[in-house]
Formats: sequence, C-alpha cells, structure tokens
Amino acid sequence: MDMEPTTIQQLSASVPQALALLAAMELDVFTPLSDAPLTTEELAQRIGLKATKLQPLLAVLVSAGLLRTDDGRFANTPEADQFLVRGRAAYMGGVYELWADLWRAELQTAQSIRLDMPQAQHHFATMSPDELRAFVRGSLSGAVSAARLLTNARDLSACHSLLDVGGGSGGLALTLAEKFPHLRATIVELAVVAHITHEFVGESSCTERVSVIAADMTRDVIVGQFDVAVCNRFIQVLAPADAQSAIENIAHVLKPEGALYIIGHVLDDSGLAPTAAVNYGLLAINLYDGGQAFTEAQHRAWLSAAGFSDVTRELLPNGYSLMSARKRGERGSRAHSSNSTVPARNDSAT
Amino acid sequence: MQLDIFTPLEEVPLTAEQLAHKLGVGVVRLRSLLCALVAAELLTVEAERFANTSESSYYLVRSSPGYMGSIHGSYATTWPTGLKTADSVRTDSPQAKYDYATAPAEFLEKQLRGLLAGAMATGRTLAKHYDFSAYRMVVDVGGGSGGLAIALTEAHPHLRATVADLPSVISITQRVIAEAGAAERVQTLCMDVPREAFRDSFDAAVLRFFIQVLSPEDARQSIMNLGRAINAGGAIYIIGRILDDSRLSPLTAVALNLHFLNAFDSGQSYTEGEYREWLSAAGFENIQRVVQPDGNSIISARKR
Repeated sequence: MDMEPTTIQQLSASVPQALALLAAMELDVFTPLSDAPLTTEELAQRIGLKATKLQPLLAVLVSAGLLRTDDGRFANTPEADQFLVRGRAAYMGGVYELWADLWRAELQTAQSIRLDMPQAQHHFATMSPDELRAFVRGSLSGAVSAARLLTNARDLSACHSLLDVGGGSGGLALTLAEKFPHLRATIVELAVVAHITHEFVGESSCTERVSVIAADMTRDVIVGQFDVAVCNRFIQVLAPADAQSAIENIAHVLKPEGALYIIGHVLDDSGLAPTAAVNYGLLAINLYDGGQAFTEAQHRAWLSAAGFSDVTRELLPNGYSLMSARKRGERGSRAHSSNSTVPARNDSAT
Repeated sequence: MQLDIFTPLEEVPLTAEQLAHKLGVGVVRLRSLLCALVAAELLTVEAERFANTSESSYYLVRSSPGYMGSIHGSYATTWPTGLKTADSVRTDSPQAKYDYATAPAEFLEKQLRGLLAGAMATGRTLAKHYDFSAYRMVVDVGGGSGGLAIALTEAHPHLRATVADLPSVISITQRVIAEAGAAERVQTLCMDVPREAFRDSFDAAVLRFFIQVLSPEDARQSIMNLGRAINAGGAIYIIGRILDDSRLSPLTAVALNLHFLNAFDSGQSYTEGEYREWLSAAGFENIQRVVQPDGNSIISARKR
C-alpha cells in the first residue's frame, strides 16, 4: 500500500510545535524581538540563555509560523507580535501555566478511560494555594476575551446589575465594569477561590462597583436581583445534576425578563462539532467527575425547566458557543428549588 | 493507540457502547475520545457507529502490515518531557534526563520493542529503494531492536546481517531475533562502536537513529571506524533526523533537537554538511541525501 500516514504524522508533528510555543511563552522570547530582529546569540544574551540551547527552539517556532528568519536574524510574525509580546493589549502569553497544566492532564487520557476516573482531577478544594492561583491567573485572558465577545454579540448598555457566576479571575466582570460606568457587577465564586478573586478585583480601577461573594451556585441560593447573569466556562465543569441546579439557582436571582448568557463549550447534538468543544470533552474526562462539553439539547432542557425561554445558541469566533436565554416574566418567577435558601456568606462553599 | 481502539473496529463498525464493552471501559469517557478522533479524521461515524478511516485501518490496526501504533510508548515519554523545555533551556541542563545505563532492563526492553515496527519499516524501505544484490554481509550499527536487520534480510534472503550494540541491549536483541525466527540470518555483536574497532569487514552498514544520539566526537569516530570496516565499493546508509544546513528544517529534525535538550547531555540532529564532512574524511564518496515523507532522511554513500 502506497498511502502515507499523513494525518498521524501531522498530529504528532504538531506536538513539538505546541510545546515550543509553551516554552517560548514561558521564556518570553517574543518580547525582545518586538523592537528589532535579532540573531540567536543576541536574543540569547538579552534573555540570559545559552545560544546553543535557544537555537532549536527558535527553529521550531519558525516552522510553526510564529517567527520568521532572514539573514540569520529572527523576527516575530504579525500574529506573534500582536498576541505574544508582553504589554500588548491582546497579550495572551500568560496562559502558558494553564496550558502546561491542562496538557499534562490530557496525557493521562488512556488511563482516565481505563480506570473510568479523572486521573488529573481539578478540584479547587484539593489544589494547593499555588496551583489554585496559577489556575485562576491562567483563566484571566480567556475571561477578558469572553467579555469582549459578549459585548460584540449583545447590547449590555441597559444592564445595571450583572452576576458573573464562577468568574474566578474577575476578568469578565472587571472588563464589563470598565466599559459600562453605570454597571455594578457581582462575582460568585467558591470560598477557596473567592479570596484570590478579591485580590484581583482590589488591583483594578473599578473596585467599588465590583463585589465578590463566596457561594456554591450549585447548592446555595444567593440574595439579590440582577438584570443579567453570565456563566463563562462554568456549566462545563459541573456534573449534569449540578448544572441543572446552578441554572435553577441563577433563575432565582434574575429579574423577570432578565437574561442569562452561557459562554463556553457547547456541543452540537451530534456530539461531533464544533471541534473546540469536542476537544474540550476529551480534556474534561481527565479533570472532572462529571464536567463535560454538554450538548445544545441538554442546555435547552435545563434552561426550559428552570423557567427560561427564547433560548438561542450561536458560535463565537473562538469556537465557544454563546447561549442566550430570557427568564420568563410573571409565571417565570415560580422557579422553586429544593435547595435551602441561604444568604451568601464567606464560608458557604465546599 | 494506548487503548488499542482501532483493532476491534477493523472487523465491523461499532457503537460507543459496543466498543466500551469490548475494551472493558466506561462508555461516557470513551465516547469523548471517539468523537475527538472523528474530529482528528482518524475515525468516521455513521448512524452512531464508529469505523476506521483507511489510514487508521492500515497504520493503527495491530494485524496490519503497516502497523505503527506501538509508537505510543515513545510519544508517552517524549511528550511529557517537552513540557520541561523552558526549564532545560534556562538551566542549560536536561530536566528530564534519560539514563539508559541505569534504566531497569524492562524499561529498556519496552523502549526497544517500541522501536521495532519502525525499524522493520525502514528495513523494507531500504530493500525497496536501494540495491543490495551485490552485498552479502551487512552490519546494523546500534540496531537495538534488530528490526531493521530482520526486515532487510527477509526481503533479501541472500543477505546475512550482524546487529552491533551495547552489552546492556544485546540480550534483548537476541530475544527479538529468536522470536522472529531470524536467528539463522541475523547474528549479534557486542561492542561500543565509537570506541572499538570492528574485527570483521562488511559490504554495507546501516545506522538507524544512531549517530544522532552521539556527541559530535563520537559521531565522527564511529563513521571513521566504519570507513575501515567496510569493503571498497561497499555502502553506508544513515537513517534518522538530519538537518538542512540552515538548521531550520525539516521540522522532525529540529523537533528532535528540542527533545534532546530535555533528555540527553549530548546527541542532536546534525546537519547534512556535518555528515558529508565526516563521511568524506572516512573515505566515502557519492554522498546522497533523500528526505522521506515521515521527515527522516536517508544518507547513502559509497566506500572508495
């Protein structure tokens, strides 16, 4: 047979490129190259590394299309310059810690399937403070870009109160608060994360309009009435039953006609698209007992049961989906749950 | 590959439940994997039944002559190692060092058996593209798994091969050769090629993934030693990751250098220019390099 294993080779060849990108973000090789193209030796000297060790890294980055080389000097490609140079508005180089963590987890896939248990379980309650901080920091740029995608897709100018459910890094609530000066935002996070969220909010310019409450949205009913609730990459980390109760508990604190926006990985009902959601589904089996990329139909069933209507789903440019739903007025406020209603308090999360 | 999901799908397409039952695993997690493999174009799905693509059928099913699924062992060691690249560069020392000298014998055996299928494929490629009809004695230098020598002598029954490798490896090589029923035509030789002279002479030498694990001095010395051991008019074939002189391509060769940063003190993908220099100095001429579709190169040269 003369067929070549093209797909297999492409997949395995992309791994060293991805790992080189990770190392380059960590070593921050792109920032010094933003001023002027440099030789391997010049760059090595700027970062304080050995040129012989840096050379293979640069060569793989050229093959990956993130650097170009001319006359023995290396330069950023436009994409690298926009997204990987420290200080740029769209800088995303800080995500490397999160990627390293998730890729390490994904290498456990066969074993997670064999034992039918997540082999790299991400449970906030059992992570060390350093791991937790790295994880939360790693999710920051994703939260900021989710805020941008949401404001591009929806008009939030009439929203005065917003609930950011599971918004650990604060990135989404803070970005929206900066954009809309009249907006008050509340971030709900588990107690173990909430103190980190507090710190991040404290460093921002909108501290007085963004508050943090520690609660477990799958179990606790918090006090308040909001125009809009946002779940950014939140439903997908929960087991199905918890996803259902979280959505019910959000319904409790939304005003009639209030909007819920779910941003994250949502699968087509076929389970086979979009690719980003399919890939997330594979990652999730290593991380969570029940967290998954759930299908659109599953989301619709939960939303409808919790008193939402006008449910829509659209695909965002980054492969995530945006699901929108409106809380039914009048009768919609019937939402009643078996959970005990507790005021938000700082030690209520598990 | 690790779960060997492609082999049971070869006979008939299966639902996720049926395959989970065959493999003895839970269906929820398996389904996520199957969907990801559809997205990666290694499976297809129709009416909820998953099937192999023609590529996975040929290369990833155990009974297929093209089976390369055993490479998962190598991926499973090199990919996690790659996560340490920044540290290895920063500290200027390999942060995930492999030490074959102290590695347990079973680890070594697993590694070598992981290389077997690829080595056999190289043996078949050489037999197909190069003329071995005039040769009788071939030495497979650093041929650990024995696969290259086994496949080459299978394709050319008139050939006799000798696999030369280190003492820690050679007993494993002997076992593999015996299992393949090739002991009549493939023998072994225990030696440290960069440091010892060959006592016998050969018509041809094959070196797969060997020079690239040596330091530049040992690489040069090994090729010098082979220059003395190969008969006039004989040939040398070097198979592995070989860099263009720009040091920027092919990707597989560059990526090997990145991996070696993490794993070894010495060894690297050398450039074509370096190989030409070593080969010329050892008395070889008519040096030619061909880059294979898998990114490996074959350098062939003739002994003056």
